[in-house]
Amino acid sequence: MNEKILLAIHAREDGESAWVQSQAMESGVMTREEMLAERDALWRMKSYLKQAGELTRPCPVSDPVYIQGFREMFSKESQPSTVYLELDQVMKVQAMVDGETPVSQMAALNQTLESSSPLQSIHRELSGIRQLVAEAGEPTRKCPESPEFYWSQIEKSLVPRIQVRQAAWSGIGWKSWVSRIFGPVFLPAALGVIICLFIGHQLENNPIYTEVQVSSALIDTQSGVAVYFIDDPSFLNGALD
Amino acid sequence: MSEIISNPQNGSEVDETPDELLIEQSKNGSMDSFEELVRRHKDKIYARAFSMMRNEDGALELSQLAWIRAWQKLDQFKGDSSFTTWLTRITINLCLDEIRKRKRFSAESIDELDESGGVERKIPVMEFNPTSGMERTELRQRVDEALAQLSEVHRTVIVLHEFEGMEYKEVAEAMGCSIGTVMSRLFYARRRLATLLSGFRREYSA
Repeated sequence: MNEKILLAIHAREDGESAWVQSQAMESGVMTREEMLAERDALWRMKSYLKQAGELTRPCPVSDPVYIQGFREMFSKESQPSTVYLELDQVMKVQAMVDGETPVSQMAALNQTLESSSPLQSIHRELSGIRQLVAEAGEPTRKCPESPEFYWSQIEKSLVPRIQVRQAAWSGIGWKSWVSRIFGPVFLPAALGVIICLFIGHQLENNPIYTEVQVSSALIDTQSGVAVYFIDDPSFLNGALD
Repeated sequence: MSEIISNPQNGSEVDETPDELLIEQSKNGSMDSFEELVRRHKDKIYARAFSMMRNEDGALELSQLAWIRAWQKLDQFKGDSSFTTWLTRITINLCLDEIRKRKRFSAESIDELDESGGVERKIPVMEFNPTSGMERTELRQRVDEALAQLSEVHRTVIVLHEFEGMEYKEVAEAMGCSIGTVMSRLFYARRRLATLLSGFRREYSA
């Protein structure tokens, strides 16, 4: 039998829409007898199921117990809350629980808390969990390594303190000392060198002195006196003028 | 001078030199004194690293690194707080750096989006009734298990606020975020803990 036609028959007998029936019957081929036989078989099956009905199964617990269980299940945290609070309000209550509310805001906050049942619930919740964590405390944990091995791992990376102090003078230290001493004078010195070079260059191009010819000189180092003999006519002429 | 006495319980030698003296000696270069400090406080430092990282290898590595940093910065320790408090802060900073490196601070879950304030501005009310007949040891274990299930940022904020006793402002500075974000993270972390422990409460009473 064609499966699509069978589905169409079932759809029609189940009262489904014509669209579902046509979708099920699309491109299917089946004789009229086959279709009627399938419809009869389906009717019979449906009739049997209707007559038999579903077995009745009694609830294994008594009504009061069942209702109590339902109430418990529905209460407390398993019950979806329908009360919502603004985050800012909740943060203020938390600050109160943690003792971080400014004194100036304390009275107003107390007043708000007294008049709001949901805020009181938040206060209870936060106080409760804070108290719980405080009561539980932190578990004591022992380091899993032996003291000797633990220390040996640390010791490998420790630089002896005396060496550290020496390093301050020798290794890294000299650079800082050099920069500390010469740093402030470096810039003026560099500027001075540049200016001198510039002036020197200018003087080289435009000398301001007159070369003179010195024929001989007498220098007495003890008395610090030096006598130069000049025989440059141009200089002498100028000097005599 | 180190004061070595014999432990009557197990016969081992116990160094009773006060921390302050060991610190001074360490500042002067005594590695023996520093080793004694490590022996005394290694469990506490390891525990703090573990509670933040939830990973044994990571906690060991970071706690050892904290000791190395402490040796390097020992001259900066002026005794304003206890040595363990100072060292714990170093450990916390190292753990936070490690967490930041993993880039898990940026919107690691829907919770993160919620707590930013951009999505959930309305908070449903929940009833929570803690400590109903729990034994302390079991309670501690359950709280620890619940903490392990929190995201890193939520767990960190609980550890810093509840166990380290830091104020909102201090937590914000340590985590590099605003006070508002700290408050929001703390709230969602607590709510998640409440949910996780409510499951325990039902299981316990059943």
